[in-house]
Amino acid sequence: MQKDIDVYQYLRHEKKFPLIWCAGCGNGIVLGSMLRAVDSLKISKDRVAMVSGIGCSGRTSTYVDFNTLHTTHGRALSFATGLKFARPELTTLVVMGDGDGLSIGGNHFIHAARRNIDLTAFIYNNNIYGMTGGQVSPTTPGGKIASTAPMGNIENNFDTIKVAEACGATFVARGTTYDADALDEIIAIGIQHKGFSVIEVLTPCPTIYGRYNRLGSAVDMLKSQLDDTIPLEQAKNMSAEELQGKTLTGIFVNEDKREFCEEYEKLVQRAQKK
Amino acid sequence: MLSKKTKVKYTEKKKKSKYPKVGFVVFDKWCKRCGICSELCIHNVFRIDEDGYPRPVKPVECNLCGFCITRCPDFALRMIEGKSGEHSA
Repeated sequence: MQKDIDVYQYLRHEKKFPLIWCAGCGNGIVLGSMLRAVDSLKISKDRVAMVSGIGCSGRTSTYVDFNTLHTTHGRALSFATGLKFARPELTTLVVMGDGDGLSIGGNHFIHAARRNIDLTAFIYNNNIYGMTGGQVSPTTPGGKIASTAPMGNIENNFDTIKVAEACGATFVARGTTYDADALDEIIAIGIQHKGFSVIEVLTPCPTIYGRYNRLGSAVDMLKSQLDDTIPLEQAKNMSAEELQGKTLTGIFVNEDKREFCEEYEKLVQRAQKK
Repeated sequence: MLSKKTKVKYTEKKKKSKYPKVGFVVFDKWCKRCGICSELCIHNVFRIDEDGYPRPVKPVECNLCGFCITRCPDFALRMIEGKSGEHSA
């Protein structure tokens, strides 16, 4: 994929820059990947809609020059469902954080996946609620420190991939900000996929999560993603012991099912014949 | 378009390289000095100056891998082809 594309044509860089995110935050890297993927697919920016919720990730829609909606906490998927239903020709990207998408908007996430509506949902997983001050999120690993768990988190975290898979999402993938080139390709495939696509991106949060857990600088956290993750193809030849404590990345599910907007179109045609 | 004050341009033409000549543009107003670009570069193209901003001191060593520009979280780094001064952001 071409790297030196003019991403600035997709950004509102004259009004909204510099970005609000902290130094070394991975959200900007994901945004760059997203723009390169949209550019590679040759989609006009007027035909792309971006819906975001609240939180650090929610600011993404502010910076892009698509049709954008910045919605309420956890309800990005609900707004996006309505948008897609009214304007099915738009490529709709939904940007959520781990707390926004899986905790507060968990119910909407489950049912959007079940319906299999043609949206591309991005889950920025930084293991914590960043903007609200570092509370425990559903993806904070056990034992890790957060502002609401100063002596270590006693809850179990859940795996976004397994949740999405179980709810019926037809494209489920995970990428990292360190491997942004692979992420570009995953996002491009996810956008082209007809059906509900979930792309979880592991992004470092050096200011809150990194500081609470003493994970080092932004650079250290970014580099540690290389050691902590293993691509799915490589993991097939490895033993369970070697995979202990590692996170798998790649495309987990890519299948075809009935899509909500298409089925609705058929229903309308059936009703008009009667 | 950015104002001229935000642009800092660097190129170097002394050594010969098998790759096309590139220069870098660092937008100081957007850069948050995280240091990702200079740490990830395997050819040490960048050096951090006393204020913490990356300065491309050896752009001739660049092998165009694109690690720095794709991993810059603030879109503050841009690779340009050819001489500096021909480029406008």
